[in-house]
Amino acid sequence: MLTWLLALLVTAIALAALYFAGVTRGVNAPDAADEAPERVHLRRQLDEIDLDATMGRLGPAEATAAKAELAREAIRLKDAPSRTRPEALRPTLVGLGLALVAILGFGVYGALGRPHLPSSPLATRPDKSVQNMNLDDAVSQIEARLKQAPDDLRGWTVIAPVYMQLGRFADAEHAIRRQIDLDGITADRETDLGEAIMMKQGGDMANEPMSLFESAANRDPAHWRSRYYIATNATQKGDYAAAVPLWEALIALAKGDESWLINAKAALEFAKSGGKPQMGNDQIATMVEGLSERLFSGGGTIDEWTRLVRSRLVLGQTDEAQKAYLAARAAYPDASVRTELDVLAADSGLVAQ
Amino acid sequence: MTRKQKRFAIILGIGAVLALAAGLIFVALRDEIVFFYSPSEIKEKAVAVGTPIRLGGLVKKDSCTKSGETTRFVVTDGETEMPVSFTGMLPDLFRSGQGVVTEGALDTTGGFIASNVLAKHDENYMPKEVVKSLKARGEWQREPQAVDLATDTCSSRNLKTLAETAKGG
Amino acid sequence: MGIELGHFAFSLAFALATVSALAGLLLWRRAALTPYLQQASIIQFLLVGAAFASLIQAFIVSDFSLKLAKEHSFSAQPLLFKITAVWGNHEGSMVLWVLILVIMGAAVAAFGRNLPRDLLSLVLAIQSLIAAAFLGFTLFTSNPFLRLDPAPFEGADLNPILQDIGLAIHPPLLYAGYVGFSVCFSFAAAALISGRLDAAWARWVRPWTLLSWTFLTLGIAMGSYWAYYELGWGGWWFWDPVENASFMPWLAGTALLHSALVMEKRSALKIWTVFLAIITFSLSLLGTFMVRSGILTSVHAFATDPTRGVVILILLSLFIGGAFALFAARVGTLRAGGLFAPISREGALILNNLLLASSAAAVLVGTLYPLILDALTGETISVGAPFFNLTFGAIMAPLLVVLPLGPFLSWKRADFLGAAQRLAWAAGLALFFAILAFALTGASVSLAPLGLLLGFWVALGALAELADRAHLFRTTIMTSLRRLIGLPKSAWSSALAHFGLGVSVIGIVAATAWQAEEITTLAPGSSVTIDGYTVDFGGVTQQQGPNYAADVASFTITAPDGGKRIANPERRAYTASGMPTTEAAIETYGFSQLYLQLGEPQTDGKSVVRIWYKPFVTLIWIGTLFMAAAGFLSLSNRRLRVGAPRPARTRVATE
Repeated sequence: MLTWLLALLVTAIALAALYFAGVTRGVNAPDAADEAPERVHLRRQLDEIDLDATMGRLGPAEATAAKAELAREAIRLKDAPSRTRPEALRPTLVGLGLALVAILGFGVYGALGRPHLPSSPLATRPDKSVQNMNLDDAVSQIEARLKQAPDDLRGWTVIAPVYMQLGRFADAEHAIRRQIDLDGITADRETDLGEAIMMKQGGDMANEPMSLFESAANRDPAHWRSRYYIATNATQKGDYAAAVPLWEALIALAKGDESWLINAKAALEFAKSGGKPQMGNDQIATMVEGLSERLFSGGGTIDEWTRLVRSRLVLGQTDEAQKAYLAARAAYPDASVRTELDVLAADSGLVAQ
Repeated sequence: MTRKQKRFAIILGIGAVLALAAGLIFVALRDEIVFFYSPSEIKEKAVAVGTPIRLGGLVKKDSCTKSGETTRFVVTDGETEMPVSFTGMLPDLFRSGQGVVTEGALDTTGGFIASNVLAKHDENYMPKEVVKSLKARGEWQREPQAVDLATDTCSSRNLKTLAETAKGG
Repeated sequence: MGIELGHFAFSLAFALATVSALAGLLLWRRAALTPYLQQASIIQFLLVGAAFASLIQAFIVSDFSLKLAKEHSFSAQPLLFKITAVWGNHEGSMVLWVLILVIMGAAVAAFGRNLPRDLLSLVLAIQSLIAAAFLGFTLFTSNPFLRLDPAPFEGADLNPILQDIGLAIHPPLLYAGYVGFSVCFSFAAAALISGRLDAAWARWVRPWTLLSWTFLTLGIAMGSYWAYYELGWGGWWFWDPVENASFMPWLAGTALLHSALVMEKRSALKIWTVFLAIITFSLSLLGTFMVRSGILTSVHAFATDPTRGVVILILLSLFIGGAFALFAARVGTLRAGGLFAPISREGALILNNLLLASSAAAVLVGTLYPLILDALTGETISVGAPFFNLTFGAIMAPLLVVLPLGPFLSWKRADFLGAAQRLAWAAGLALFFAILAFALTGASVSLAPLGLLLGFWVALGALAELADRAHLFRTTIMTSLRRLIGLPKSAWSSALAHFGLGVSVIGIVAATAWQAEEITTLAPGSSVTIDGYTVDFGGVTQQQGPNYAADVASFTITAPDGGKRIANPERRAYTASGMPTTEAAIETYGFSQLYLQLGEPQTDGKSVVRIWYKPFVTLIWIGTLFMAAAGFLSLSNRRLRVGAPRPARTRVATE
């Protein structure tokens, strides 16, 4: 609405300026001035002929000839009929012109413009704040934005893991459901949804989460995250006979450097042995210490950091996990690359600050 | 001189200058233009050794070998291949599967010695001439083939690491 | 809000231009219409200016709800490049084009108050017609105000090549030149419609020609220098279609500048001058079309789109066709002007025009021939530098030979021998310098000393004209000095422009003939020597820029006089696009430059390095600065001031 009002204002000012330009200056201006520019030109030319003659750029005979040519020009100019017509423009004609300008202007803009679309400079946008890690502000800004534009897929995608991290699992569930409504179902989203519901149920995988994980695993034969939950579920229930092939299938999907692999292998051994850990905790601890030392001194990929945090959590070393998580966040300030780590941390109650 | 003679002299002068200029342009057009060929056309038309031409096509995947400032690579139009040798700096965007236009001449061994490799500073750019000749051979794909910069022998080495740094950081 | 208001302002400007054009063309005989058209031209400028400002604002705050900003800007981009990104693309550059067009229209309205009413009305009407055509083109085929909803979170970055101060300078100057010639075109069409085609017309149109020519000179020179340091190929002119597109209007405009002089002073060459005014703007439009349509392969055309090219081609044919139809209808009614002998200032200027027009034709033929041949025979060819060097060189050489003589010739009938005598010392001195250069560089047989001779001849000839006018050595030094200061600005400016041309020629010849180039592989710690300069390679380090990562090489240059400098050429990869660029390092020594380019690193820690030594290369651009300075000097001349001369009464009052 404001756009239209301002547009009207601009048009009114422009048309008024146009109207008064004609009324005040134009109509009664002396017409005698009309031919003057050409006479001025002839006078100038005469001066220049004299100047050229004194500077030696025009011979005396030629200067006389040039002056004669000029004189003929002046006579011809005097005899030339006036070309302009003095009478004023009829007000209706002026009004018609002005109206035409307004109609055409509004018509074109009306066809092409989007007057109701507000500006959205980056500074007032939620995304900027997410990068600055001011989480609460970011969340409220994104929420405000999503209220205005509930179809903003990117907004829902950004906010879902943040909700998970903040422990707002019901909101996370809603955000993921919106993603699925807007952009269709994928194995990842199904698993995300399962995770959110699982966390809402206090970590219980029963019912909906399990069916979601299974559906995701069926949807994408290479989807490890859903399979990880399914295998974990079987192991937790003590159904080791079912768990072993599940873990084996999962490990077969790995390329070899995944962060979860070490845990999956441990879980496989655990299931194979029917519930007794085969690899001693000492052994695992040594491996983890080695990894930790390497990452803290020389840095590493985000996957390695994730593996370290996960391992610390498996070993029950929550404080160490928290330390590793903070170090990983410092090494990778861009939230978009460490989604997996953030979800893991949120699941395990690690904090961001 | 009378008025008529003056005018005649001026018009004669103008005519002479214009005729000379036109003659010059025609002679230069006959002698100084450079034909553009794809590798197949070079074979078909039996282009003489040493004639300056432009050769255009796609850089064959992983066909590059570099020794010091000289790079050898193969230009292909899908049917025929032409080995090219170029001494100097390749354009920033030179890589496998990329359209390329080179200036130079054939040598006696049937290879092409390029004095200049042209490329525009735009990743999506495919020289017009190359598009035309590839279309003629049915080799034209709108989307350039994806090339893994990390293993491509034709793209310059440090740009791979740079591109990775730029994207990762 | 801002963007939408800008969009509206742009639409309203289109409406206003359309109605102005219609009204002006229908009612130009009615003197009462003129003030309306003047005001309308100024309002068009304010509206387009507001629209342009709204785009800049949206880019500065990274409002990616503007599609244009999303596609060509990036939040981490430095502020300057956010602003220049507005016109670093097709749509935005059209807005800049139109903005300069309406600025010119507003300037005619503001400064042309003393032009005859009917002529002013027609000029403004035709200017509005051009504005309406291009406002409409921008709105309907390349609308820069399109929005995205919801707004994306990040933009796609400006082409890294364009992330340079050059984008802030080159396009506005070049467009000011291109578009300025629209005023000459409008004046020509107005004169043809109204029948006011006389010497006074030439006086009114000449400041606009001068203004456009000056901007175009600067624009081309800056573009050339930009390509020189940014593209990293060490070349400053490639005879590329895009360069030719700007060079043809320059050649035609230079011819127009000189023929308008003849028309103004001697009432001669009327038909030719009007023809040139039309042709010059047509070549500007053709240039815009060629750059936009991408029909010709070019190294530095950006923002191309073939489909829109067709629309520009239609506009182009309408304007050119319409103008030539008018021309054909009116050409018979023109009276012959003043008489002159073949050997005279007029004759010399005709020769100048002939040669400039021929060279423009040669460039045009060379640029379009590949297209024509492709259309006729399907054969793909390229017309490269050899063609242009041969034809352009052969046509320019006689122009340079006779150029210094021109200002010495009298109007109407001149004493050729007398003029030649007064130039003898300049010729002798030029010959001496050329032979000196020839001997110093090892006396190899080539065209270079001849080229140098021409350059010195033109530069010294220009000085000789000033000396002659000041009666130097014919009277006391003080009197000469007084005379020199008292010379009309027109004498100063023509001498300055011709001097600048000579300087450019010297630079072109020297940098082409005596440049040294070295491509080599260097290990850190090793060095290479080129033309007396020792370049030590210190190695390559990785650095992080605001929106790119770079390999930065460190070189220490030791000049022949022992001075040391550090040069840091770079290779960059830009974050958003992943696109690589090469940044050359250029060190200036006097008028010469050392140009370093970093190539690929080898596996063993060595790097390929390309080094040029370009003697006197900066003279090329310094010469053009002289020419532009001459243009501004001439514009400051009260007798030539933009628009029409004021009546004597007001002149007395203001002084």
